Amino acid sequence: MLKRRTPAPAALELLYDLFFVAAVVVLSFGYSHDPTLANLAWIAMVFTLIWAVWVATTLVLNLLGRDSTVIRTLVIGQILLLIAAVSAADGIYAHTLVTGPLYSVTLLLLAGIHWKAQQLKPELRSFSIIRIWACVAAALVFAFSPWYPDPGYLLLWLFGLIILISPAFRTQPLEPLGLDTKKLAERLGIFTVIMLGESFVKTSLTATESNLVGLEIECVLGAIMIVLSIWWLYFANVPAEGEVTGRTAHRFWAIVHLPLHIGIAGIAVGATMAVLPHSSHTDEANSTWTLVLSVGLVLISLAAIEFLANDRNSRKAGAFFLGAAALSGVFGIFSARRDYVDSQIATLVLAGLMVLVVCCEHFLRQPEEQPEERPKQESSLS
Amino acid sequence: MAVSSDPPAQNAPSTIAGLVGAPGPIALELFYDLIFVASVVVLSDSYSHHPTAQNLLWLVSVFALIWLIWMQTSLLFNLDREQNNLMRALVLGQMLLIVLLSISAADDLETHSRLVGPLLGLTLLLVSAMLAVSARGNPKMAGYTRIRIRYFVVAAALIACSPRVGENAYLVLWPLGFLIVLAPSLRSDPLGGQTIKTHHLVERFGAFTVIMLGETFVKTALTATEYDMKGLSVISLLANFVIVFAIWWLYFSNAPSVGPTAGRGGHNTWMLTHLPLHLSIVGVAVGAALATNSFGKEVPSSAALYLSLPLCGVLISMIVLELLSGQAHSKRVAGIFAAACLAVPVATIVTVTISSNELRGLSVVLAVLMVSSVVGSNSIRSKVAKQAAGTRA
Repeated sequence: MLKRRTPAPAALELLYDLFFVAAVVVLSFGYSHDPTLANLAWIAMVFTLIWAVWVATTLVLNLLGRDSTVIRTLVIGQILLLIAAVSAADGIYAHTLVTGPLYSVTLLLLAGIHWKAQQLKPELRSFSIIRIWACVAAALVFAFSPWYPDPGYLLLWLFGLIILISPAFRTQPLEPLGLDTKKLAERLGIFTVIMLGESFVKTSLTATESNLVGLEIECVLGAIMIVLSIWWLYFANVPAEGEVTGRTAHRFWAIVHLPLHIGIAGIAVGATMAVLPHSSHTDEANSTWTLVLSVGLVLISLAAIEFLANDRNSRKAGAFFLGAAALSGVFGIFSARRDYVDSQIATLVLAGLMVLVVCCEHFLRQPEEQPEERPKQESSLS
Repeated sequence: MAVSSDPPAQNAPSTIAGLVGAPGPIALELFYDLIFVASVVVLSDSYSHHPTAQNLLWLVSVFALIWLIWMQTSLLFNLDREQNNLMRALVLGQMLLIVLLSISAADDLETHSRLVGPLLGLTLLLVSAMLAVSARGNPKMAGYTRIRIRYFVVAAALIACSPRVGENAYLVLWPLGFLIVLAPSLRSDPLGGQTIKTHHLVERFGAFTVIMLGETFVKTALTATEYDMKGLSVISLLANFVIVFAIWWLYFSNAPSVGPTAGRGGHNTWMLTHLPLHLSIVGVAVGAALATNSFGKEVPSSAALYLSLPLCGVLISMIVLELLSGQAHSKRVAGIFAAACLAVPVATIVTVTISSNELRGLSVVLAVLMVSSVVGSNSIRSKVAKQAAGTRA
């Protein structure tokens, strides 16, 4: 059979992940320049919306397991989310007129993906139809949100988000529909590593605002150590353990990645505040608390993933991560009582804590048998 | 690549998982790529803020050297897939140095070129150490690593000493260092008896290319956040996204499935062609960011070159990759790319003449041109495939 040459699904998935992460970087810049509680709530809300679309699209593509030009076009159309992020980064009181409708169009594109998916694979009909309705209903809510006064529309958005994710709580097992759990775990892993990489982009870009000698170079090194430690903790364990089975555990496993990714973005934001402490829009308290809370959030998310794996080693590791999260909280309180220690010291203390967690966790686990090597695969980008 | 399109294999370990208790090679490689691309974004950001010829030369030199380091490390990962903790630590050390040197290089030539040379030298020494670790763990690698370690140490010394020789010494010493690092690949037995894993190599270059394209979004979007949404040209933003998607389509619909051509010269040319391709993608990102922010502002007509020149660079690299593939349709597809490459300067002159201080029109015209190249090349490939099927029948 003749077939036109097109880029492989793997190339599309990687590009798709990258523009989502670009959106996250843009949002985190928005918060860095206006670190207020209202802006944090706003950015966290937009981040959650973007993340929800990513997970929904990844899940339906995983279940579909094949490619089509229409789906490819609809996926590429989701680039609109990036423009939504650019408009959202203007701040909570500016351009909400654009963000809601743009998100609404993205949801309609997601509904289109579901529609095409159930056409290509009729087994997905019951899975997709309810989601199409949810997407359309949520799209209407978001499209009309600019008519509500600032910031009351946020409640409306919350309502829209609940509508969007509500089908996920139906008692429908996904394994019989052809869910490839290994691939889903890989997709989340790749998204996580790209998020970690983007925190380097953000820290480095902020660092270039000043000369190298004018920077808190210890903060740059500390932030890099924290990111490398998270990378190690996640990739040494999570992909090897894989996604847990069972409907509730499986959903919880995917949802736990949301606080993990928010935590990683938070570390990038905290690091940039620490790297340039003398910029006008930040202070020691902001950078210390952003770092402490983000590190705590990452450790709690990793602990939740470990507890979901539910073996002896994982439970031990999970408890250990929770202990480390508590320790970072204690440091935050100690720092606040001392009128906030220097952000340089805060970054280095947290970096030391994370490196210690990596070392202890490495030796805490019992050695396991190495899984057998997979047979050699053909290139997935070709 | 970690992202697999294979049918479900529930009992097989995830490809991103490697050894028990340590991150797998794919997680490390992807993370490693991202660091390099982060440094590229930093360098391009520096150029966006100081767009002078001298700064361009400086940043291109830094880019070329860090790209070479990426290529050498990727080749090592390709030939020796075993990674121990020492190797991982060296890779992480290399990543740390790359971040520092890109921050330093972005300070521009006058202020911090003193640090960039030594940091580059140190990074090359880490690559040498990785080669030594590989040879120790796998004696078969000795033929490949021994000569490279010597050459890399010489190049590291040369590059590290450049600030001591003079402010502009890097213009001579760095290209010399570049050639010394490349020299072992030009021998009659460049791999010292080892066999390159072509699929892995193609995937690594493909992944790096797609991440570079993704960073174009990061750069454009970040530049866009410097202004309110009202001050942006949304048409330019969309047109530039179309240009990036077209590059992505042109590369991934052919290059990864064909891969490098066999033979020493073919392999080397294929790999080195990616240097101008990646450099041009960075240039497209710079031009796209400029065009997006040019709405309602006075921009000099020379600003159009930021968008059109890198696009010509991308198309020329695509021509070379296409001709290297040596397929039945390669010459005709390369002809389409060449025509597009010629049309870019014509379109630039016409749009600049009509509206000298507006980059929006140029972005749209170039986007249309790139989409036409995608459609043209696809239809030629399809025609040739049909002819071949007809002949077989």
